[in-house]
Amino acid sequence: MEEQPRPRAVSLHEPASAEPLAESLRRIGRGDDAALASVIDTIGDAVYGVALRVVRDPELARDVAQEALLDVWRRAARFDRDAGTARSWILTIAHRRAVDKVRTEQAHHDRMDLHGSTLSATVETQDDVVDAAQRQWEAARVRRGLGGLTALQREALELAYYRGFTHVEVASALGIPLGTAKARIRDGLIRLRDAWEVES
Amino acid sequence: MTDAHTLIGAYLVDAVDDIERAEVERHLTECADCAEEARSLAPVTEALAVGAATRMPPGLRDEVLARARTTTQLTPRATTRRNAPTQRRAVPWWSAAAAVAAVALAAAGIGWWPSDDDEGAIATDVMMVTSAPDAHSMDLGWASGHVVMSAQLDAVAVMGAGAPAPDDGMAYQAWFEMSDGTVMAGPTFAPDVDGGFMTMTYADCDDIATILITQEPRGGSAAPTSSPLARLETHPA
Repeated sequence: MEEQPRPRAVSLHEPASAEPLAESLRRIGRGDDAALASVIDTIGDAVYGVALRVVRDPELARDVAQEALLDVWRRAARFDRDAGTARSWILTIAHRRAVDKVRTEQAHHDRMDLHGSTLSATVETQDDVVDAAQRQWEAARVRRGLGGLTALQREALELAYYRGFTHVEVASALGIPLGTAKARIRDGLIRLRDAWEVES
Repeated sequence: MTDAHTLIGAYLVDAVDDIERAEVERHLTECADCAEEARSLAPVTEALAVGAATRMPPGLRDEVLARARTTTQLTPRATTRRNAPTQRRAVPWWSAAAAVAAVALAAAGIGWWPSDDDEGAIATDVMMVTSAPDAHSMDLGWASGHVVMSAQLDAVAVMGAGAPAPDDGMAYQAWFEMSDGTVMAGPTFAPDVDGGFMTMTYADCDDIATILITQEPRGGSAAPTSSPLARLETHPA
């Protein structure tokens, strides 16, 4: 690959962030593609993994992941450190792209078909899982957390987060009122937050 | 419409449509309680995503890097710059994805703030440079244009009133030749129907030796592919 001239590092008066990813986003915002490579190496698997969980098809997931990472490149200068973590910002971009893709690509009735849907957080095939202790720990933490929810909260979150259903579609699929669907999603998130705060 | 309070959870897992998302994001800039709840729950969806990590397919990394080289980037907002003369209210980063929502709301005849509209943001950013206390202006010698630099902001703006329309599929691109000879790619821009244009970027003003303008394929190039239309020797502030 040909060498590109590196953009000049700008002398900054901002202190370096405690979060390495935020520092990388700052550099990406200045056109530093080595910083983009670093971000991909750090979080690319999570970006792809989120996409794959939601869109289910590896080819579609690859497209979603590519577009999400290019979004990060395009928008890095707009990331506001005061409002959240860099990791959260990046993974939200990925999740939204995946959800948009699944809503436009799949016919409504296909998505509403719950037959065969898995209502747990287990990853689809063991072969795809990166065999690193950290990854296993994080996946296990999610499984434990979801296992601690009520069945109703878990199924609402599964449809919303992992299947890309809108809360209206969640209500319709589960035959519950809109308010109940919204509340179950919110309560599930709160319960996960509290469980993981206790753990850490 | 729907009560934004009750949609915070759904919003955080993207279980909302674009109109609802825009409403929630506006609400979050106005309601401290909801903003706090959203802030405290954001790590949850972050953990769900991280827990789903799966090895990227081979080649994806290189494809992204290759495409990034010809993909233009948005300029920063004025709000995130420590030296901005006026501070807008801090905007949650969630609004970074609001471009689609803005289009949806525009179609519905509803305007909202903050807008992620690129043109408005660029005009604000350029104004920030031209109104900097140490801003100094130089004639670009092309398209009735000039360059404004502020060493305090480490920012450069390029603007003018008489640029011809670029060739089909092309745009203009600014370049900064630094004191050591390296050439840094600057932003791409295109004039409006009257020939007016403006753009800005952040760069180490003290280190810039020359500013160049070329015509490049829309989306920009990593290095100039044609002779400069304008060449301005700048001097350290």
